[in-house]
Order: sequence, then structure tokens, then C-alpha cells
Amino acid sequence: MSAFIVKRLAKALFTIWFVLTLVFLLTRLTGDPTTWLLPDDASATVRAELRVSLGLDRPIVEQYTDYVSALFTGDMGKSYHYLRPVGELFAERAGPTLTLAAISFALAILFGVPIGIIAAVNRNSLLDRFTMGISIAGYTIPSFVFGILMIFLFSLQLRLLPSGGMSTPLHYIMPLLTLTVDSVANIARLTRSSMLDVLRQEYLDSARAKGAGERVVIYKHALRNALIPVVTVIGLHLGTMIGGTVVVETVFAFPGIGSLLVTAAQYRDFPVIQYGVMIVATTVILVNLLVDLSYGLLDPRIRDNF
Amino acid sequence: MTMENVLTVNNLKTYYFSKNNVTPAVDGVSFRLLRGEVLGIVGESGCGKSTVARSILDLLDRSYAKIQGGEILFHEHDLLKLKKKDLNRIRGKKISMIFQNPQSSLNPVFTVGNQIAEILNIHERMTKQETKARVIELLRLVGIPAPETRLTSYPHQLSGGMQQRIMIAIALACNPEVVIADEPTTALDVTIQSQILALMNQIKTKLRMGMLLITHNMGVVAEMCDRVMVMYGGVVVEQGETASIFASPSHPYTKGLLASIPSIKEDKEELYSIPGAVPKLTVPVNHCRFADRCPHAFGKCHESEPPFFEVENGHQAKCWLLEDTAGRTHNG
Ligand SMILES: Nc1ncnc2c1ncn2[C@@H]1O[C@H](COP(=O)(O)OP(=O)(O)O)[C@@H](O)[C@H]1O
Ligand SMILES: [Mg+2]
Repeated sequence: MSAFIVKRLAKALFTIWFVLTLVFLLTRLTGDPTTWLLPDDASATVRAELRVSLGLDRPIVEQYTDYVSALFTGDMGKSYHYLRPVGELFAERAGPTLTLAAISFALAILFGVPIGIIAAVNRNSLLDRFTMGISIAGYTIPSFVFGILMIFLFSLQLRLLPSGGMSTPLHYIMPLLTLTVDSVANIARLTRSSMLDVLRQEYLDSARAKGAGERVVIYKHALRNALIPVVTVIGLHLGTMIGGTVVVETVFAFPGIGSLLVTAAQYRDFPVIQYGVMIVATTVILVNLLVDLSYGLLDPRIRDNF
Repeated sequence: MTMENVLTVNNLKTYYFSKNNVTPAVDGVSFRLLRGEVLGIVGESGCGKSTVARSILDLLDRSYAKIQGGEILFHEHDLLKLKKKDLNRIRGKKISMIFQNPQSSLNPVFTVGNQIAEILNIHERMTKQETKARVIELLRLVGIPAPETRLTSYPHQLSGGMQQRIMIAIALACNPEVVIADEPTTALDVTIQSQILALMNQIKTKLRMGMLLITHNMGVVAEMCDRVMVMYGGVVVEQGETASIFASPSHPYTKGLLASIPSIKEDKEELYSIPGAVPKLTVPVNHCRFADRCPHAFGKCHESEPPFFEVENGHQAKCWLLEDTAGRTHNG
């Protein structure tokens, strides 16, 4: 078991390093940051001076080794655009985004799994068709379209909810819905099909033959098995969800990490992009590591391979 | 041993419904199981044996299977009329079941100890220690080596034979009055089959419980059963004491089965040499169900379904050939 964890941790660290390096190279391929940082009419000398002061004139290998060694000292660099340490910028913006992502992640599981179970247990009932219909809609409509439709309906027409900002809890409702709808739909559909698969298994009949009540059969014997594939996908969803916050924060003018990253991309603000990617990659990789471990807890057949 | 009926099935009809037809998988089956007796149900794959077993414990999928009629009496209680809650007091406690495929009958995510303990927790008031002691005792009874360490094994860590021993331990856990064993050895390797049969034989004499033993193998019947029912196309075509059936098989189908007995060592369904296949029937049936494959079929066989004719005391067969020689019994 512990050898497995060490192996997975090593793999996780390697992945993070790989992503950082890739992003470092890719950002530098996008072009010269001074194009956007200085006014259009700035002279070539001024631009060159700025490049020197940002360290962008040096060979790329040198820039890279500087970047990596700075990482180890905890120095993440300064934003080109905001002229402030990126750590500070992210710290200010992390709260709303984390709140959004965490609540939405929790909602996705809290609603997705039970909806899937109920739909599977009542297969082909009206309830099943209704929830699966909605779920397919939720899955196929891109979330930004859904967000814009909601703004149109609830903000512009009904004037019930604010369309942008984050000053009150009300401001969170539409971004949350937009972000969650996809994942609820997806988790519900997956739980349903996994559950349907398990409901056919003979070991449920042996549980019934023992005299176990139907609740025990479903919630003990079936659910535990049905959740195994669901848990894996839930881990992947966190990645999708973080990607989703970028879209949602843009649509709802929500000042979180997502909108910070969008601005950073516009300005070729390399340090901000690099830091953002590092945080996102680390979070996703860690969550998936946790998922893999819990997967082993759920499924003893996997545990043997640890 | 008293001659008390533990399980009485009267005119059971269980049909499967699909979009455009109705399969009379069990079409008027009646039998009695006495206390401590082993009653065999034998017949080719598809003749309705499992459907009988599943009907008894209400393990049919209600979305397409329906019990159309009949009674299933456990002592004097009709199981078909019981509330779910009351049925659950009988399932596992009074009547338990061993399935054909041990690998898929054990839940892969729970330890075998846990799965044996579950049935005790459902039906018996026991402390944790008592439960554990009983589980170990059961594991020992079914011949699992080192039971104390096996408790914490998961099903996938055991061989098929060991898994079936676990299923047997579960079935025996509450000292039931009836064990239904649906082809308990069919899914196992040949060498393991005889070990499991030997175990069941030994347990049957030790615990004196009634057993409904389903098999497609006449060799197994010879070894295990006091009485036997031969099923074909959803009905019982011949029934009687095992010795009597083996000595004077009276239905052409039974004769076919006996002529093609595979030894236990080479138990494969393909070995049956009766030409043709179990017919796809639709209701209502008004001919002998075996007529199409029967070498002796004559006009009447295609026109009306035969009733039981008495061959010897307690030995009956449904075949028009017996009409002149045997006494006709009341419909069975
Ligand atoms: N789900 C089902 N839908 C329709 N017919 C079925 C279904 N399950 C079994 N049958 C039919 O019922 C008959 C009896 O099946 P079964 O009781 O499993 O036989 P056995 O156990 O003797 O092999 C077979 O002809 C089979 O084709
Ligand atoms: Mg069967």
C-alpha cells in the first residue's frame, strides 16, 4: 500500500513538473508581452528596456533555470500587468473561486449520485425519464450558453438575480448553477448506468435470498459496487469544474482566479499564467490521487495491486 | 423422521412476458418436499428448473416475470401471499438457496466473513463474538482450511470451489429447514464438483434438512436424491423415488436422459444425446411438450397434453404410451 502511494506521489510530482515546463515554453511561444504592456506608440528602445528588466532578453534555458530555482525558494515572480507578487494576487482572488468550485463540486455529488440511484432503481418510470431528459439537456447545452440564458431570464426579464459581481450570496446562485449543471447531469447519468449494471448482478439475489431487505440490497450491496466507476469520474470532474470557473467567472464578471487568468492571458502576463497553471494542476492531480486511493478502499480487487 | 411436508408447491405457473410472446417457463408444477428429504429436479437447460427455485424465494424479476397461479406452501403458509417483511423472515432463515455460479453470487466488495455474518445478523440475536465464532464454525463445517484467517478474504482471493463452500456456509448458517441448491456444481471444475457433492452429501446426513437439488445430471441425482422430478418444457413429466425412476424410467424423455448420463467426471451439457432442443413454447399448450423430439410420438401426442399415469406406487409419468398399461391419476 505505501509503495503504491510513493509511486503515485512520484508520478504526481513528475506530472506537475511536466505541466509547468510545458506552460513555461508555451507562454513564451505566444509572443512578446511588451506588445500589450506598453502603449502602441512606445519606442523600440523602451520596449527593449522593459524586456531586459523582465529578464526576457536572456536565453530561454537561463530563464527556465531561474524560474525553477525561484520556485524552490517560494518566489513566484511578479505580475507584469499588476506589478505585484503573483502570490498576493491569487490569495485575493482564491476565496471566491474556491468557494464556487467547492460548493459546486459538493452539489454535483450531493445531487448527481442520488438522482442517478433513484433513476436506476425506478428505471423507465416517469421520474427516470424526466431526470434523464433534463440531465441530457444539462450535459449537451454548453455551460456558457446556459449562463447567458439564465442572465437573460433571471436578471434581465424577471430581475430576480444580479447578473455580475460577488458582493452578496445572491451573486453566487447563477454562477453556481452554471458550473454545477454539467457535472450533476454527468454524475447522475453515470451513477444511473453503473447502478443499472450492478442491479443485474446475481449477488443482489443472494443478498435477497439471505432475507436482506430491499434497502440493504440497494444501499449496501449495490451502491458500494456502483460507486466504484463513479468515484473515478468525480475526480476527473474537478478538473472540468476548474476549467468551468474560467468560463463562468467571465460570463458573470465574477472576480476570481478564472477571470484573473483570462486577463493574464490577454496581457501575456507570464508569471500569473504560470502560477495559475501550477495551482490548478496541483489541485487536480492531488484530488485524483485521493480518488485513486479511495477507489482502492471501495474495491478490494484493486487494493491487491497496490 | 416424520412424513411432514415442509414445502408444498401446487400447480405453480410462472410465465415470462416479452413484447410479443409469453413463455410458460413453469406451467403447472406441483410437488412436496418432506422434512430431511432430498428431492431432485432434473432436466435439460431451459426446462424451467431455476424458475421454480426463484419462484419459491420470490427472486424473479418482476418487470418481466409473473407468477400466474398456484400456491407455494411452507408448512401451512402460502409464500405467495406473504408480505415482503414476513417473507424476509423465512428467506435465509427457514429456506435458503445455493446458486449455480458462486463467483457472481458473492459480493466482490465484502469479505467472506462479512457475507456469512450478514445472514446471522439478519436472523439471529448474537453478540459480535458469538457471530464470529459461528462464522468460523461454519467455515470449518464446509471444509475451508484455516478459517480464522479466511474470514478476512475477499471472494476474488478464493477459488471457485472455495467460493461455493462459502455460499454453502451462508445457506446453512441459520439451520434452515429447506435448502434450494440450483445446479451447485455446474460452474465448477470436474474434480471440484465431486468434492462439493461429497460435502453436500455429508452435510445432508449431518443436518437433516430438506433439500431441493436442481441438476441436469442424472449421475448427481443417483448419488444424492431420495426422490426426483424430471422436468421438460415447464412441466414435470415424470416423478418418483430415485430407485424406481432408475429401475423403470417410463417417459421417453427420462429414458433419453438416463441413456446419456455423463459420468460426474465429464459433466457437460453437450453430452446429452437426445436429438433436438427444448422447444420455445407459447401459451396455451395443448400437446405433449416432448412430442417433437420423441421417437415414439403418435397422433394423440400432438393433439392433447397427457396427464400423469401411475407407473408404480408414487412413480408417475406424463406420456400417452402409458395410457393403456398404467392407471390414470388425478391431474398433477
Ligand atoms: N428473462 C427471461 N425472459 C424470457 N424467457 C426467459 C427468461 N429467463 C428464462 N426464460 C425462459 O424460461 C425457460 C426456463 O428457464 P430456466 O428456469 O432458467 O431453465 P433452467 O434453469 O431449467 O435452465 C427457458 O426456456 C428460458 O428461455
Ligand atoms: Mg437454471
